[in-house]
Amino acid sequence: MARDDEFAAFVAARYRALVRRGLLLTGDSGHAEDLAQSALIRTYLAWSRIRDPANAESYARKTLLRLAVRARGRRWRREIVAARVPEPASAPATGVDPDGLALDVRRALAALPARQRAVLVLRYLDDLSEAETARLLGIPVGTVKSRATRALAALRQTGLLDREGERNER
Amino acid sequence: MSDEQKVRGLLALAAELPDDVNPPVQRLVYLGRRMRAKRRRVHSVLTVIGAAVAAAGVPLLIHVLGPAAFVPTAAVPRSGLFAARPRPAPSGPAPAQLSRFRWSALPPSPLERRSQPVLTWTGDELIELAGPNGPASAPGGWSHAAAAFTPATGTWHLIAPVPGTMLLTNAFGVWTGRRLFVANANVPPDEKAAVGTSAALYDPAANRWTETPLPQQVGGATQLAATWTGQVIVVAGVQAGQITVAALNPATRQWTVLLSPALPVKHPARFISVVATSDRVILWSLWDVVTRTSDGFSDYAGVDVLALSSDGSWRNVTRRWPQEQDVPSPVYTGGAILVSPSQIWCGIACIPPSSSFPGMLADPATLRITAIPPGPLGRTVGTLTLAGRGILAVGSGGISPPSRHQIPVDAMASYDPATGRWRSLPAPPGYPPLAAPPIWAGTQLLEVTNSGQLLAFHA
Repeated sequence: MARDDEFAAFVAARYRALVRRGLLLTGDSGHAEDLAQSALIRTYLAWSRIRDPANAESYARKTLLRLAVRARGRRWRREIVAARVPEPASAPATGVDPDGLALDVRRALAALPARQRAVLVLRYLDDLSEAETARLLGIPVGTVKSRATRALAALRQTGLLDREGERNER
Repeated sequence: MSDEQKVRGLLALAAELPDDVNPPVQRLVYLGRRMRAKRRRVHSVLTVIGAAVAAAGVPLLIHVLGPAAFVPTAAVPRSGLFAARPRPAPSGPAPAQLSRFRWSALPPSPLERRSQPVLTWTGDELIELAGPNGPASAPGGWSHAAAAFTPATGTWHLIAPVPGTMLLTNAFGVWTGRRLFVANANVPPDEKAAVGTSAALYDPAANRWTETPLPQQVGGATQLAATWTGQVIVVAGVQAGQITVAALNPATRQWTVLLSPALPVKHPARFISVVATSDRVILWSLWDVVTRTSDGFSDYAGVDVLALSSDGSWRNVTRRWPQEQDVPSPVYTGGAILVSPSQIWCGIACIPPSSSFPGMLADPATLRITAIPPGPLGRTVGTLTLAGRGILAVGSGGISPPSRHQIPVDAMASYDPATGRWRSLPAPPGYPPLAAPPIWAGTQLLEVTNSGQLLAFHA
């Protein structure tokens, strides 16, 4: 069962990194884990073609991005009419976010279009170049630039960039 | 601090996870396995549905659009693939009568001595053509000369030579009852340009050759095999692991490209054999997959059996056909398919031990096999030839277990399929090496030796 062993080692090593990306793309840790697991199962199915762990990482990341963008596009189908208003979700008690800054960032990201979010994650979390981002998303480099500019402008308007500046000065 | 740096810091902060987010490794492996199994099941079902839709839809489409819309694709010849009348059952002397036959020397062939010529019995004459000049050990060039022997007059005469544009380096012949179809059986890729599309029909009544170049789909093949169905000559070729098939109507000299058989996944064809029964063409595809290993190569091999029906469709009828042996010279006897003793088939990268399987008779409808038991020639039988109502075995020479007797080359015996009994027959005087397998000529057996001698085994 070499395939299963290799895959298990890959999951153990890369699961949290994928969930982190999923969290930024969806703004919700539950959705993020769902996304990461869906991407990993697809990676398992493609394992015989991938073989190289570096390729597996790239495949899983790309799949996760695609699933996130697609899930956003059809979210309306998943709306459920509920009899009562659910309790608002509380911020995760991580101990590293006393000001609730992380939660505010996730909310601000969630307010962005999914494609702008994907560009932000690839450019500023994964540190990919504009050309690599364009190749991964299958869009022109110019589109990457414009989406990144708009996303940065939106974040600037929320005041989050100023708060981050203050946090770093402290 | 730039805005981009601030964004990086914000994203890193927002992406931090609680410590209790752990990878569900076993669950993902389990789900992956389950999903893979499900995909395989779905794939199988879709394949079956696709085949059913194609089987039902394609004829309907052809019916709706008309056959003219499909000229470049597969079709059944206008004349049909099979003759309406079944072939007559074998006639001639019973195997017991063969044991009272004797050998005679007849006039030698007027052609230069040659090895592996094409020999064909037309009902009146024995035609000899092709084969490299000179002895088998040192063949010379390729002669276009051809000759025929008429038993009624006891004489040879030269017939029209093979067309000069044809280069028959490894020829085989298929007799249709009126004409002889000739083409090359195996063509090395480097000779493809010169001989690849060579094929011709010889009409003995008019003493005339007509070139019938193979259709493009079949002409590129590196191996060809052909059989006469009673209506058309079905020619199958192997090229790059695929099999292409065409039918030639010898009366109109029209080729029709037929549907190619669908080979199972990862079963690339290497060699083929074909034979026509009264209502099907059976094709054996010897396949193998060679993979490089740390210490050389491994070869995974087998045999697929495919049947072409009168509607031009193929079915895989492999069922329990032996997977480890080749299928040399299959012949339809009218009641069974006769297969000469075969060698081990273990792929092209495999060098099998020197061993052979006994000849066999296969039911043409079910392909159920009846092995021919070892006879006086033991395991040294080279070829089996239909002779009257019996089967004639010619020895390939060697020591045959279990008796460990030395069996000479050309030793002969006859087998009666009705009784399952073998009889030893007298060998040709001096055991001369034969240039080609013997030919049954209605009432006698004719053999051409390597030196061009013609011998008859007759009543």
